[in-house]
Amino acid sequence: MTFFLKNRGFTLIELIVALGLFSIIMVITTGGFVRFLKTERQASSFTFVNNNLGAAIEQMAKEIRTGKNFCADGQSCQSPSVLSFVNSKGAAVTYCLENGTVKRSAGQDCSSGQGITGSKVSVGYLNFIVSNNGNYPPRITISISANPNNESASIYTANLQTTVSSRQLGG
Amino acid sequence: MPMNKFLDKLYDFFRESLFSPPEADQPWAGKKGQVLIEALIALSFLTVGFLAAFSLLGRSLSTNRASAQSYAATYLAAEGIEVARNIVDGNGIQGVAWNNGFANGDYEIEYNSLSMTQNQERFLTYDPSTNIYGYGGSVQTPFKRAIRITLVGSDEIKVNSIISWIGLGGGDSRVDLEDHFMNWRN
Repeated sequence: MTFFLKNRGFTLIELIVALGLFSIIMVITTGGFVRFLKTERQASSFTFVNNNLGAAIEQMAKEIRTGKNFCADGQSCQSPSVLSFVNSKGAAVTYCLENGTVKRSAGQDCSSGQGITGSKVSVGYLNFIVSNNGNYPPRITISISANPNNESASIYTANLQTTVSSRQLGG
Repeated sequence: MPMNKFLDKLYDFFRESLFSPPEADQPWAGKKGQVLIEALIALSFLTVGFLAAFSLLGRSLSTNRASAQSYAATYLAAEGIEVARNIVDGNGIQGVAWNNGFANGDYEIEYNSLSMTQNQERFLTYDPSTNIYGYGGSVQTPFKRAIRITLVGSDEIKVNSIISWIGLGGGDSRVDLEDHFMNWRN
């Protein structure tokens, strides 16, 4: 009996069992932690995408709402992803998509414009549908999509659409 | 017991317990088996704590997805309001009654509708080739859009653009935008 009662330190078996248990638990926890980091990155890219698209749509919609001459009267639009018009200050404005970034430029030259979406998101398409029906004010439908610019790009794409009616009835 | 004697005993106790070789007659000698169990319990508490934190993160991801749906729904609802406004303004251009075509009830509209049609509770669709949300696309979205018109007297139209959908968690979600159009041109 005194053999067991003597505090002789840990036996090899005890040490192996303790280390084994500890490492199993640590492997599980570390795996969870890695997953946790990945999820966190995905969640923040979702937020980036939504924030960027939201800001871009709001900016475009506000300027379009008070604008006129959409792709008409001297403002020509080369493709559906370009919208040229005259804003409330009487200045020519162009919104367009270039290399995954939505740009706003004064005048009609898209490449000289400034980006209104950030580098962390990649805009897949930007389409404007302009209906200059004489019996109604100009109506511009904006559809836009984007995904994150990192490894979680494939798992999330936001497709948004909204329509703006110009308040300048003569349009 | 005088104070210095007590301190002496205390010192002896710690000195023995820390530095003297363990002996069978020492009081903690029989408890060594408990160390492992204590460590196990401590680790399991730690694991439970970590798992709770991880599940919270998983939840935050699904909340993010849900908020992405709300984003899309909000802009689609705004589209409903704008198209209704476009029709009201169109009445002004055409010189007909300002609220021509508006009657109490629920309606459906598309981005290019020139008038409102009766609500058929259809799901909005998404067309991958034109990237347009409407009713003619091939991919069904979870969203239903109803434009609820309420005539408040002859000089005011109340418009609610309501997007409703079944959220990712299975619960009912909805976005309800409201606007009031006035007969200000007369």
